[in-house]
Amino acid sequence: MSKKILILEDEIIISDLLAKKLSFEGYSVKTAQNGKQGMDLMTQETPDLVLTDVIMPEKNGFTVIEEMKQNEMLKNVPIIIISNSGQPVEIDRAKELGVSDWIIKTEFDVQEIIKKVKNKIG
Amino acid sequence: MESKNLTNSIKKASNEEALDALPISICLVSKNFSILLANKSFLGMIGYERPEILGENINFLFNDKIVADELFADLKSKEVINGEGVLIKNKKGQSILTSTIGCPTFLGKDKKEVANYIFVFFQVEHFKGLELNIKSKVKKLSEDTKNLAQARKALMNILEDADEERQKAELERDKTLSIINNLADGLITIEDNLITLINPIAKDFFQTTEKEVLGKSVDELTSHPTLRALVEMFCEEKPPFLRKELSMGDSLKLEVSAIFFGVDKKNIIVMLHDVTRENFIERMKTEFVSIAAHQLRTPLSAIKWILKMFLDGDMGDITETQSQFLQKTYDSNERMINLVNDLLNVTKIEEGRFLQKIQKYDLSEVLIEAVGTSKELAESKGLSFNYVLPSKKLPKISVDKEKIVMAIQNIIENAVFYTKFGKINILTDYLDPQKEFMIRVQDTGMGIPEDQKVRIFSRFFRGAIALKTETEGTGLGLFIAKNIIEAHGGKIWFDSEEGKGTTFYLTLPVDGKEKSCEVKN
Repeated sequence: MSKKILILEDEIIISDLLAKKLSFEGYSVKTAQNGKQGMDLMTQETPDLVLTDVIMPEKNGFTVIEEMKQNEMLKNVPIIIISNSGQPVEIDRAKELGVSDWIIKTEFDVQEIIKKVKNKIG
Repeated sequence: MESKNLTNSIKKASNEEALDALPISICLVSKNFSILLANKSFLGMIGYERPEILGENINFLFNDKIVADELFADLKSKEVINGEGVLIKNKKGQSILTSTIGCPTFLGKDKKEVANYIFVFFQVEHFKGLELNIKSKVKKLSEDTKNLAQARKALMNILEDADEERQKAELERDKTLSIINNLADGLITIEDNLITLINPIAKDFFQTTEKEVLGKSVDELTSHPTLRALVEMFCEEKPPFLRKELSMGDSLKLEVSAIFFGVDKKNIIVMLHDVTRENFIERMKTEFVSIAAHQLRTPLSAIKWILKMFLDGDMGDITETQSQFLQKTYDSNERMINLVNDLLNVTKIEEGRFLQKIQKYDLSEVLIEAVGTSKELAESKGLSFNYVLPSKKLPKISVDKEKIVMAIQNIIENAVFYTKFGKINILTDYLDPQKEFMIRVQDTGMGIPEDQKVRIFSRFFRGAIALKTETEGTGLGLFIAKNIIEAHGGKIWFDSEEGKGTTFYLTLPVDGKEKSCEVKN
């Protein structure tokens, strides 16, 4: 069974690109356009990894992460944040919540992101 | 008969005594002008004894017989005579100037028949003297009066002039007061450490009244609820000129401009400019740039990723030419990403939220990171690149490592970039008394032209030579670097000679806090 990845990203161009690339690598990918949609999909089916943006409509990334940690089924799911920016304060906070990586979109390319995903879940 | 004679004698005697007591010369003559009676003063005037003249005709006294006859003629016609300036001679033959008054006396009540004539003589010399005296006194008096009148006139003129000047001065003062009161900015003046003026706008800014403030000293006002914030700005060390922002809560931000002058700088002129709106607009602008830059990152990332995928062959094989074009596009996109990053840094600097994590580090650690790949890059260009790391035994510096590395890296990268041949040297010294590090980055590059030096650190500035040679670089690097260094309490400057090379100097204090003002107690 292929590993399941859930992408939470409101910018379609980004999520499409990531989804395509990850599917190509053999993962089963689902996408959500906002935090609420993302939570719904997560609770329906527990993913193996979550790739999430921070600024999103309905529910932002941090709220999603906090809710995941409250949920028995979701609290151990590895999370990677992909964002437009990253203040040290925010990054520290995310690390405290158990986020394994904070990726700034303009500084990494897709290949590197996939490497990180592979590192996390194989 | 005897008693009548006696009575008459007694009467006569008393009359004579009374006459003698008088200080004026009196002579009684018969209707034939023979002397019947003469008082002491008369005798004294003419210098004769009584027996010598009794019974004599009085006209012997008069110098001028014609005048005498005229006088007598008038008397005979029962008129009172007043001869002015009549000359009579005394026993010694001297002439005496007199006013001669003659008056007839009458028998019976009907005044028909003359009984005697009374002569009274006033010595005119006395009069003359008196008269001259009086005349001269009157003359002097009138002169004095004239002088007084002139003096009074002069005084009136002076008073008028003074009044005019006073009016002019009042007009000027009113004009000045009007200007001060209608200034759109607040104005406070301090003389000899005491508040001497506070205009309406300033009163409004600090929600205070003249009563609360005028005549109070700067020290006293350190306990004033609103003004204390202002006076605390005027600390011990007074520069000739100070410009600082003062925040009076969220709704009011003031730009304070103060000029210090006079002995011990005890006189201050303070102008207060409301910059609340300006600050607000500046913040809006910064926020806008921030939001725009953030939004730009999404498409830039997408482009970056897609192009990379093409270049990596993920979309299938591509030709050499296609690869080259795609690479150029990728590089262009990378530059845009850098520009957006710089813009965001600038907005962070403007918002004052640029420095984030301050921790202690060894400077050598920071330098290694800042040098990064510059050494290889320099050597690949044929340049020699040398740097000496400071000893780990030296004090650690409190910095935001990410930002300091960014700043130093920027300067080193500039040095490599703008040097075509020669060398790059990086030296560090620890200055013990000041407790700060000094870093020098020397190059033998193209240098900075004289007229460009002033603008080197301003936003978006790129030297003319730099523009001609390369089109890369946003021009924000040095602006950001300067801000980072200064935010840490350090200084940055340079020496440069066109065509020869440039040396940048940075100082970084070990403890990056700025000096604060202490309130005088």
